[in-house]
Amino acid sequence: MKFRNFLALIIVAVFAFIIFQAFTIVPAAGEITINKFGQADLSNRTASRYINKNVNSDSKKVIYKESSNLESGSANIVTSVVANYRSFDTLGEITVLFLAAAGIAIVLNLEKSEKSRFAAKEASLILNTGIKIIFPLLLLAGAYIFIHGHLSPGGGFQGGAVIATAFLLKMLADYKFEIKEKSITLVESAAGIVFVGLGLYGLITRGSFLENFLATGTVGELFSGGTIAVIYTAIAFKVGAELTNIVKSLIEA
Amino acid sequence: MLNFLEEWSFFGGSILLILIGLYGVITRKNMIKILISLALMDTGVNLMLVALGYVKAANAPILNSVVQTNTAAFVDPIPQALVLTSIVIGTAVLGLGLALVIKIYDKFSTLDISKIRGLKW
Amino acid sequence: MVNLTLIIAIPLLMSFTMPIFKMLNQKLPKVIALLTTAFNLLVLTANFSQIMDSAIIIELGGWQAPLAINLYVGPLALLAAFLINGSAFILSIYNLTQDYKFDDKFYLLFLMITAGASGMVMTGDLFNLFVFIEITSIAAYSLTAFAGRDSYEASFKYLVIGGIGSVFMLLGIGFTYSAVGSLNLAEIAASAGLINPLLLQITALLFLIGVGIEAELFPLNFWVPDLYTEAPTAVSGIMSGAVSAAGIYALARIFFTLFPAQSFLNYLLYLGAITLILGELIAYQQKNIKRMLAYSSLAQMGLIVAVISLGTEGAVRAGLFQLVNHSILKILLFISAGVLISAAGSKNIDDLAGLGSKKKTAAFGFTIAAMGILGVPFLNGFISKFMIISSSLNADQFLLTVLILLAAVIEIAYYLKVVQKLYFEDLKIEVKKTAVITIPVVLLTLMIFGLGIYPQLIADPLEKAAAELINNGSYIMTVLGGM
Repeated sequence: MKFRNFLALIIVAVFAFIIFQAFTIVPAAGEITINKFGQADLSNRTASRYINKNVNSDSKKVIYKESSNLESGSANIVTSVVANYRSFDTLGEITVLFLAAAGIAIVLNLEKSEKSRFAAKEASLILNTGIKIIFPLLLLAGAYIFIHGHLSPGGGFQGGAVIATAFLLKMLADYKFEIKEKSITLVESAAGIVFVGLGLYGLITRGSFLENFLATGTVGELFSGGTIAVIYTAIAFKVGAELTNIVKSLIEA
Repeated sequence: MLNFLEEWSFFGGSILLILIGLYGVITRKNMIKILISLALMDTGVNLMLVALGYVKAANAPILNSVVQTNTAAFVDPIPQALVLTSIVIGTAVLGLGLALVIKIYDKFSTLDISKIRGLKW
Repeated sequence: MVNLTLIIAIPLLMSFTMPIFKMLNQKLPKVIALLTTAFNLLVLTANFSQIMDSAIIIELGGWQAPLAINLYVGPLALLAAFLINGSAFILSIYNLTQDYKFDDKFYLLFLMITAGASGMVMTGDLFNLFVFIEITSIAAYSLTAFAGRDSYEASFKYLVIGGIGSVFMLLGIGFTYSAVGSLNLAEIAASAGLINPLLLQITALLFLIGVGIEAELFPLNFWVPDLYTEAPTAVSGIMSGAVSAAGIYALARIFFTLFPAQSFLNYLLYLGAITLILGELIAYQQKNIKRMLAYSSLAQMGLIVAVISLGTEGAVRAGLFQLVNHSILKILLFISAGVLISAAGSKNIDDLAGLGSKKKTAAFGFTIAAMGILGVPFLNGFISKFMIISSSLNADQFLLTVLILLAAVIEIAYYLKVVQKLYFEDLKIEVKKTAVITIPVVLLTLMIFGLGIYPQLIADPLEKAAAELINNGSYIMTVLGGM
């Protein structure tokens, strides 16, 4: 027991020694190293191309609510990275969540539990009434977050998480509340099919998987950004359904 | 002094989080605590990524009515996008881990990993 | 020519749709899994001749190559993708005779582990590589848990070690991005010479921890035996045949293309050699047949890593050939061992005695594969073993050669022990009914003999793959073009 802690301490110390060295490097002339804190040099990073929206087109000044028909029409640059420039990663990411939801459902339902569970009890009146009021509001907030994903902080994942929270609260308040397994599965599958379908449609019409095939509109307008909004809506539904599914499996275990 | 703190609170702090998590994963025997340590490591590395893209006194990478053009200074949007992905992956792993812990507790009636002698060399 | 993105996109689409297929018809998921893997093989075949000519770059989302995510499919990636999808195809045939509870979820995870491994070998982007590693490992965590009871613990162990690995990998990605300013493998490789050497070493170590877990390298491999022992047969097969191949590929990509330096390769050589010897020694002591196969698999991974990191063209070619053979042979071993285990109702080697006369196909498959691993002439293992030994002698690595020969002797001892138990001892137990595995055994045996008698079949792709790995300049040139 003591030996184990000592060993762990040594391992951690070695890692600390190795990793902290990375920040103290003083580069020789012409060498590159980690940028100092607060001094990230964007000009020679790929990020500058994403900020200036000149990956495929020429560099030009982008002005909020004026510039239109840019290569990526989202005012939120993180969104344009997540759902446009690097949307393939995002597809992988929702797949990870999908796999985890499937895995959790398998693990928890494969064998019947040998232990007896606590009997669920009715939640208090305050919780029950409060959640009844807050439930539709949360759904609305979630929808707002993902619909405005390309304009303001937020997006499909955040919106989906808020929506899943609404369902989690509902399950907390009312132990008889049950969402049909089938409907969650259908939403999950349909959203995933829409995402991959968008990618394949881009592949067929434009020749590249996940390529944007809609007009990108004017930066900062609600209807702008091309496929970003559609992708984010699909992601929100998928993430909402998956997180709800995970919570449901864990509660029912 | 203040400068030093500002510079090191993010890099140093996030690495410390990772190391504390690593220590926890190795030494703890309670499976829930192991998962908490893993979550600490995740948080540390996410903070690290964001810190690597930070530019002093720059704007969040969103065009809006205040920051109207892309000529303004922005922090790096790519690490933020990566962190978004990494958070989701971390959540997925954590959820799966917790489900496994529930099942292991069901079978062996203990959370102590050293008491489960199903598999050893 | 068919767009190679489909190799990832179609399995994704199919696994998202899998629950709906299940609602339509109970039998549909198995058939869909089989058809999807067959489709992937067809797509790869359709692109074969062009990739042998020159590597294909696929830009995703229509963004030009080094600036966003792109796929890079050269001879090496093609070889690995063939291995992965071929393994999945054969295991899908095997799965037709199996019944799993929650089969829609099983097959969607099975397809995703295949797509994840294919993505790992095709991607040209560092973070995308991380995402695909995570897809593969999360699918593997869940699939492992399919066997119930002890498999939960195996899965939990793998999950924790995999989680730690992904943190270090991500840290390495962060450092690389901060220094180079790009996530594209070719761009990083192009400026790898400029990176401060100390930082390069630290980053390489972080990547080694992250990817070494998938490639089953010592000392990050203590999860492997548990996983292979407890997981269902098809899962052990795909982990050993496809995922570890993808792990080796990622390791080779990072240490040959991304950070090419002889010193890193030397460390890999030591790690590989340690893995080899430890794996063989522990395998020799095992009483549980799946555990024995697991340690043997570990040892083979060590051998492959050690040989590839010799760094000469001949050695890389030998290592890659061994990788191909290892996938074919290990899948056959796992399938036949699975049948023998369910016939005997026990994983203990002693309980398998005399099954050779009752379970003819499985015992035959096990014997052929064991002979292949031992390197009996006219089987594929012979040629790759020969190439390995001659290339390690050429590289003046006498110690390594001695270790490889020693490992081969240990291997002979424990594989022949099982074969001898199967055929030359009396039946002690009641034989239970098992699944029929004739088709996969026949297919794999044909491959073993085919590669053993006509190794020229694969000589050209191997040569081009080895050349691609040795010369990272062409990789950089192909992606960056005239920039």
